[in-house]
Amino acid sequence: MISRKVTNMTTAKTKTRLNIGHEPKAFEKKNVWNVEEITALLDEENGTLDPRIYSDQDLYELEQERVFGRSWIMLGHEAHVPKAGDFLTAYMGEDPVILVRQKDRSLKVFLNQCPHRGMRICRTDGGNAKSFTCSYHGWAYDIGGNLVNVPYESEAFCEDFNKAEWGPGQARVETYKGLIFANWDKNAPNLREYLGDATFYMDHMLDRTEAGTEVISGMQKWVIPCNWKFAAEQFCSDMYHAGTVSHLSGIEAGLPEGMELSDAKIPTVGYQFRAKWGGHGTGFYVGEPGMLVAIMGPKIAKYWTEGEAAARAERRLGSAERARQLMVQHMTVFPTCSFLPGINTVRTWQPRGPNETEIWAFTVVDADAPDEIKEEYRRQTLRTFSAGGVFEQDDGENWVEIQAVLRGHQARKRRLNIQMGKGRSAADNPHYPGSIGYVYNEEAARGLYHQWIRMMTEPDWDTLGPK
Amino acid sequence: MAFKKVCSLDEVPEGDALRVELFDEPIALFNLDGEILATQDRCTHGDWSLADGFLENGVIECTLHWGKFCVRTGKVKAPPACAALTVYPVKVEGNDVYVDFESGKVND
Amino acid sequence: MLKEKVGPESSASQISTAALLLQHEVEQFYYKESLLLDRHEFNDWFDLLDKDIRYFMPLRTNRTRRDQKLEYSKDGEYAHFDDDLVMMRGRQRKLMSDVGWSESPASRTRHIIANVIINDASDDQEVHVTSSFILYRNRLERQVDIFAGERMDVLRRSDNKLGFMIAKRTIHIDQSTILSNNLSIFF
Repeated sequence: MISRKVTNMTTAKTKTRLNIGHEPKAFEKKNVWNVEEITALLDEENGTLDPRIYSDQDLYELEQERVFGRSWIMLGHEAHVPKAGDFLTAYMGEDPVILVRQKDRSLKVFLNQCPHRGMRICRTDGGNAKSFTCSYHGWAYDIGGNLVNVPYESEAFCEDFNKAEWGPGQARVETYKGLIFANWDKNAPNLREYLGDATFYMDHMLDRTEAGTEVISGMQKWVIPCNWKFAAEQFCSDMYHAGTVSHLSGIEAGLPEGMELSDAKIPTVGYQFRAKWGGHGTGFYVGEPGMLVAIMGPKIAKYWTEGEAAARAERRLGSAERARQLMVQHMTVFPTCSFLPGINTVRTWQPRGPNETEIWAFTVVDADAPDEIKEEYRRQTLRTFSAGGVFEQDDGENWVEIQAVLRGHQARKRRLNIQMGKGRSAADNPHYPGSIGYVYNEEAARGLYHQWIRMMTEPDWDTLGPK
Repeated sequence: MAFKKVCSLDEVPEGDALRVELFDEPIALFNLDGEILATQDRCTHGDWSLADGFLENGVIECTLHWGKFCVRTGKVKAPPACAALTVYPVKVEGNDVYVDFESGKVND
Repeated sequence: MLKEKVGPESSASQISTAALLLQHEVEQFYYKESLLLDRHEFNDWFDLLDKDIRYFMPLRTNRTRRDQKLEYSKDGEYAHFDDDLVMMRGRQRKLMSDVGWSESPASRTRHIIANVIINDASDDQEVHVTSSFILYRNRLERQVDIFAGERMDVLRRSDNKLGFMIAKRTIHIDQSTILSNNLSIFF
């Protein structure tokens, strides 16, 4: 029997908030896990992790407020909503939101909930809108989320009813080179500060050309019965599974004609990055494009490493190595934005309870890439990294089985090993910012959980924020 | 009868609508298979521009609450709207569209 | 946009013996094809894919009635599958390998094909067919998935054992969010 002390670090007064602007100097949700217990989930010094971080319902509830209520969450790409009124419905944690392009080209993100009786305002995946009208009683909002019409307002409502106070909560919206992020917390650092030294690595995909990136139209969604952190952690920190056994059959599936499995040499040189602050992480091989050929085929590998586009990327990134030789890079921007530069799949892991995650995935391409290359990116990413992808199929298999095993008491009791690379990374690489170690490493995973713990235990950005 | 030029014909493509703000009240012009018709632009139900609505078979549907009106007569075709629109006389000369705002009327 | 018209117009009196036979042939082809998949005779199933196969499953989105034409993703947009023969042969290698974890141990599947409608058989080498499917999958200890949808095929006459090759297969799945951890099986 586990007893959990109830601390009262949560004493925020609940005054009516007409415009959401979350200010958690203290957390709102009653804390059934105290600070010491949450902090003990990760033991960085010894390299162990308490598996309940993946399975506990109470932690999950706290996460919704403390992590998803305060982090920058990636919702999509600017090219998803090019014209005024173009919108996508998306999620920030479990909260549904509407992302809309405004007439002045800015972006708005607001809660997809009518503050009248709580109905979902918009029930479609996207489109172009002149307004959003709740289909319950007809409260209508303009594309900025302002309540503009209430049926029978003058006849039926009361004197102190003020439409201006009853729009859905607005989130902050900022973009980084095409990717759109939103944050409920008005005290959170701005997006650039939040991303910190991670932008250096994001640019490997997002800034290869002055034209920037665009998207292959369409968002693929599927459900994996596992905790979101398995996915976020793997993209943050786990080249190990790719270089060992998880994806052997994926490589086999992608071998171009005339190429043998033995030709697809798995590299042994590479680095992993742990952000100085923020929980972001990435890793990549350095060397020949054999793995990229096996995953994305020769056309993409050639585009990425040779020719005019690669030369331009080299000029922009200021490094031949960064532009042409970093292979199968994996990356997570804390908490749930993950992508693979070179393969160019981008996704948000949407939490759906401690035991379930929805994946929302799309593909980006250089905006000025030849049509043939864009088409090849489309075909190859959906062949490799998608619900039916020959690589991603096997990820789903691993995470589902871990989650199923975690139903067991013994399985939850035994701390997991997260020791790889412990004490071997350092912030002294002349070419790569952040803490850098060998490509097979769990330093970035430790960084992700470290940030998660800080967000779960520190209510004030004065202590939590990047210095 | 004072017709005033409000726009040129090609500003209102077939099947489309244009909002014009030249009078005391904004008006909406609709192009029904080449014929131009004019009504008040503000929906009688929800204070919303009908020119932003969906025009289908001579009926405009307001995007705000899905009320519908006949653009020829102004009559309500679907609730929640319950009051008819004011309709205005239109004439087209060459490429110019004229509307007589003062002669607008509501058909009962 | 992808929907083919439902059924040629014909009354009972106009149905020819040839049409009846063709209907029988096509249905028998589907039953036997399904059995290859459900009995894990995958090499035989992949051999049914013709050299110019397009195995295509578009995304399906939630749209208002007015935007219904946008429901399925189009050519050039993202999809669940959009494979040619080279890509399908790669999937075959994965499936048959010793390290294809998503199908080793293998899923137990049952393909139920019904509502078989021959839309066009005017070319004596090709038949355009629409059918409905229910695909049940049970996997490992207790995973269960049920997929339903419509298949639009172009079948091509062949002297193989089943009488046809599959030249085109477009699959409209009846889910917008795929309610499964992966699509490691074939439709």
